[in-house]
Amino acid sequence: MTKEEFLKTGLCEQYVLGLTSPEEAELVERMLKTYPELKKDCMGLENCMEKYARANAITPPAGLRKSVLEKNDASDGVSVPSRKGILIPTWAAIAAAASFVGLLFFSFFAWDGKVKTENEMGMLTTKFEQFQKDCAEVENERNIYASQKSFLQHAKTIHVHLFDKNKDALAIVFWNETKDNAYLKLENLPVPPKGKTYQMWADIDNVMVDMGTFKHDPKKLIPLPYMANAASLNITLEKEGGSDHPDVSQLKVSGVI
Amino acid sequence: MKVAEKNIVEMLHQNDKRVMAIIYDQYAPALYGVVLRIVKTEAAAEDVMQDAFVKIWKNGTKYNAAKGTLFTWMLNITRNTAIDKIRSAGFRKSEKIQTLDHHVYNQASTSHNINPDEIGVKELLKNLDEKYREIIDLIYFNGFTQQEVSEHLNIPLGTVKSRLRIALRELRGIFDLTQVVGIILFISSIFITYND
Repeated sequence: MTKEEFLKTGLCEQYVLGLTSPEEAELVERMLKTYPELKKDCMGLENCMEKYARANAITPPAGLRKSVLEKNDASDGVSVPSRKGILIPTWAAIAAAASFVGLLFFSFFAWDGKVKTENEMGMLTTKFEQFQKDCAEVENERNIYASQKSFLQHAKTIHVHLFDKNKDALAIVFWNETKDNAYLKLENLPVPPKGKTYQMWADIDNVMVDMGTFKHDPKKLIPLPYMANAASLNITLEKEGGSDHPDVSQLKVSGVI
Repeated sequence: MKVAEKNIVEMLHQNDKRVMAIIYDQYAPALYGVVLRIVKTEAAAEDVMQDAFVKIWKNGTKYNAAKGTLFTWMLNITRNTAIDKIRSAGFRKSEKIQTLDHHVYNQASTSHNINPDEIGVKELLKNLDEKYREIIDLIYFNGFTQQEVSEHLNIPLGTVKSRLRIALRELRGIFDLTQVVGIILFISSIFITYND
């Protein structure tokens, strides 16, 4: 995998957030070892997330420090105090170190510009690709809506209301014999119980012909197969995946064409 | 005084137990901020912090700087401990996704304080687009996987992944900006002192 291909996978970002699988983590670590600039980029993201965590830091309750350290002392870890101890630099050393770090910092900024521009470019490319995908989705939806609108406005499209036992219309089928097409719109049909699904049937010459199961989605027009010579349309509640023959005792709604 | 990460790592590798107090002082608020947001309650957060620090101590000699920064390593241990906690305690998902406003910030008014040093950064973070911020926060502060984010926000997994990628890059851009502003202020203060 090339450096550019790797950057596009987004694995670096997932690695930083601890979202990678062991195999993915191994790949990331191999890439970071091979390409030092990738390691620098990845560490930049890690530092960024550390800053984000610090920006959202919350001071722990006062007693927590003591209990954390006590529990830690009670654990089985081996304590071998370092003979060297912690080196505390003098003020002169601090000043010298600060000046040196300052110089390094400025040099780093100058050199880092190019890398950042490349990263920025990569990010903009990703954003643009996502934007193109979003546009394609919107265009696709627009085409579907235009086609549905044209169908609903067609002179030969009839509305078949499907009623329950109480004569309440719970769904409408838009039926058009010249277009050889049909759509279902759910109104008040309740959500099917878990493990059950709704299935549509056409009554043709007193035989119930399967028109397929459908997902309960009252927000959308659900496409249906057109069945020539259908006298009525019926919805039954069936087991998940549908049935070969309708369970008439579970007939929920029906409508005459 | 702040101890350098290099020295902390050296102490961890030498099994010098004094390092745990240093780690606590330098990193506990950032780690606790993440833990409390994941587990929601102070009692659970304290348990997680205790367990996580034991794990950090016991695995300290295995920490490898070539694989990532010390903070990321410690945070991953701490986050995983917090996630194990909410799963083992039978926390319901609906409890997991409650917002910070309802839980943590309300509690903050009693015994916690948001770090006041970071107020300027917090203002800048408001520039991060909401759709990017929510993905980072769901993963970082709620312990969600990418799949769970996809289901929770009802967007395809591929979109979650590309948004996550953009989100981290945008976030880094914001932090870079804070550095530049810091440098400008620093240089300005030198000139002002010199002119006086």
